[in-house]
Amino acid sequence: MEIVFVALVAIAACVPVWRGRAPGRVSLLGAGLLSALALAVVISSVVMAPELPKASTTRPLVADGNGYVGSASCRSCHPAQHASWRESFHATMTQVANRANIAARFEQLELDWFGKPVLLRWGGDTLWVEFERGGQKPGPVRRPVEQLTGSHHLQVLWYSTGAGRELAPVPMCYKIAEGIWLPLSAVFVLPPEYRDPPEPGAWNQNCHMCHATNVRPRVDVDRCDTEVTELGIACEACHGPGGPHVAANQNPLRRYTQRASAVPDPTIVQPTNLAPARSAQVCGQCHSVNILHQEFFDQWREDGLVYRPGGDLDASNLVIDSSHRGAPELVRTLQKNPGFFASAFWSDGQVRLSGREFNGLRMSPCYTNGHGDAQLTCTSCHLLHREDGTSRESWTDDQLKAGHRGNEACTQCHEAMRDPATLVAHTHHPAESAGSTCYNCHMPHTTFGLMKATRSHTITSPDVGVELATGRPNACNQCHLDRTLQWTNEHLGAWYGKAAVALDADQKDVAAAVRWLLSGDAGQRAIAAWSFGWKDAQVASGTDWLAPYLARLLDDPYYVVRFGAARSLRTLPGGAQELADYNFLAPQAQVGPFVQGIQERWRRAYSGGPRGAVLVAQDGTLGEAFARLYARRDDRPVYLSE
Amino acid sequence: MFVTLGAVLEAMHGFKLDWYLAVGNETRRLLWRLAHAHGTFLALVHVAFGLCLAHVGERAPRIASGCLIGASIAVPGGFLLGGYGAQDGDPGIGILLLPFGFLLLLVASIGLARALRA
Repeated sequence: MEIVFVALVAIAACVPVWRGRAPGRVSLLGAGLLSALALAVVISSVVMAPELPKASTTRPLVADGNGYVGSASCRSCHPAQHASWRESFHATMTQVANRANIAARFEQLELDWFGKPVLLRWGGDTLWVEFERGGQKPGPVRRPVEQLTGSHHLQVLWYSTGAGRELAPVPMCYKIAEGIWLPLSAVFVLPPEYRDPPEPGAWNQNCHMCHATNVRPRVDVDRCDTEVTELGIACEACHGPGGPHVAANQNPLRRYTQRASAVPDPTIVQPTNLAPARSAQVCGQCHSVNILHQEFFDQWREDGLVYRPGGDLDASNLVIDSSHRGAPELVRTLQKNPGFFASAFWSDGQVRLSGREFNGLRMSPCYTNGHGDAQLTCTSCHLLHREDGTSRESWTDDQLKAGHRGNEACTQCHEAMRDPATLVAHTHHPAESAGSTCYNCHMPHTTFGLMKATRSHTITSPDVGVELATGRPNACNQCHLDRTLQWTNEHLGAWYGKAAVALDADQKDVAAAVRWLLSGDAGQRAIAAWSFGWKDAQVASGTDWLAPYLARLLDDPYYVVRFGAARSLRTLPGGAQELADYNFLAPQAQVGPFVQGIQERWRRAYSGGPRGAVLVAQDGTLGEAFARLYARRDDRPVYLSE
Repeated sequence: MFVTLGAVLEAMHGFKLDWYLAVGNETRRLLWRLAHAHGTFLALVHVAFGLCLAHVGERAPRIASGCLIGASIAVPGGFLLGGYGAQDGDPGIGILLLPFGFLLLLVASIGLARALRA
């Protein structure tokens, strides 16, 4: 456009020469050449104008709405913030499926989905998927893959079903760190009979809520016309609709006045300026187990979610805890999955799912008892725009403030713990050891998701009684894998004056982590399998006895438990070699021999002597208690899905 | 002077200084490049002005000369100071020198034109 404008001005500049009464030859020649050149530019610009890409009609339409204008509108005034957001995994949570965005590199793949083929093949710039769909809408599928979810741990592919803008998940997804394809259902703690991916329309009706910005589902019985302002979690997901802010700040006078003012700009939400509880809700709109209040369902179906950053999340959404068992919003969820509460929450109401940190935060004393600036909120530790001096790699992983991987996160309030002597007196561990890291005792890895355990965001102190009541691993024994609850009882009593809790014989004599691993439910086993591979735990507990336990989980009914056990086994000497041919998705008959093989080889090589708490005899055999505890495995179905 | 400024800008590129090159300092980078470009261009205008003086009669355009000197300070200076205080995509308050500089440049042009016609 600018070129055309300049060319037209050039032509206009020549007009006086043409209209002059006696123009000289040189002037005439110059004006003629300039005019011809300018005309050529105008014509070529019009004729050769690049064709704008047509918006796809088979995936969610990207369009402004509800006052949301998209991150491109933010860039010109906030380039640094825009750039740091682009670096984050929030930005790439949802992307168009193309060669640049797909993490895996291939031209054609035939994947094994529990014995059924899933074919992925590039045709030009379009990725096609072919497979036989099961579930409620069975039949052959041969459709283009149009959208992607995730770019950090996992990438899920979505194909368009052809029914309006409806998307359905490809049953195989890509685990980025390991570079492997695996069934989507195997990523989550789900009973093994769950093999089908979510039904078509899952993105349009459910996943969009946290994976894109300002989504209008526009779904009905015979319609699927989903619109989004932006794929991915963009600026306005946290700052609210930017339309009024952009309009108001086109006035330069307002911008300069606002900059000089101490009052925040009322046309946009800055989460760090909100009261801590409101600020946490901005993150909590996605990072919590929540459901829309029933009265907003119809509004959501057409216009999307009601909550806006800065508003009251509780007014529009039910942030679920154990007290909501009878809530009408949950009737459908509980009909579909009666074990929902038992799966998603520990029995005291602490959340078991990772990525739901707001539920955890709301139960933390640092949040409930905090006041003013000393009330814990997400931005106390997390920083959503990278600051200078921090590396992109470390920041993007969990978007922590500089230094907040260590005790700085806690000592910003608990200042006395900055003093090494005070810290050691409190922790009874060396100052630089894992035992003096606040997180390890007060935020143990008791939530699980995306195939790994993550830290609970409910700040607690280790408590044997709570473990016995809830089954949630306590922090002491998650590191000291080879110690019993009796040992923990004694230390908590001696160091912190905690009253001893009555224990039965196994609780007294058998290491707590061994009991989680052998007798726990699938969620506890998954956490145990992860803990056995945790470096801090291996340092504290030794590694020479871990292999037969991890081997025991290699044929677990839950694929995710098998995967975790194999991953931890590979951290042990010789583990990777022993598991070279192990496929955690193989049928029981194929994975079973790995259990016996690894246990037997380990027994023959063992020379560590008897270790009562971990049930190892002098000759390396695992005692009767091992089999007895394993026979007690809690096989109730567990559903820990995102 | 403005050639020196150009060298300084090049050096900041060379040493990859965040203060100049970081995405968040895009406006500063633009304004300082404009300061360099306008300063250099106005230096050439000074040369042209001097050459024109040969065709001016006895009345030297002193006001035009003063205005041109003023514009040569105010225009690049405005860009330079605007870049120094740039924030969130907007130039710093020093940019206000710019319209003043362009006004001086306009007065200088008119003054020279009148002197040439005389």
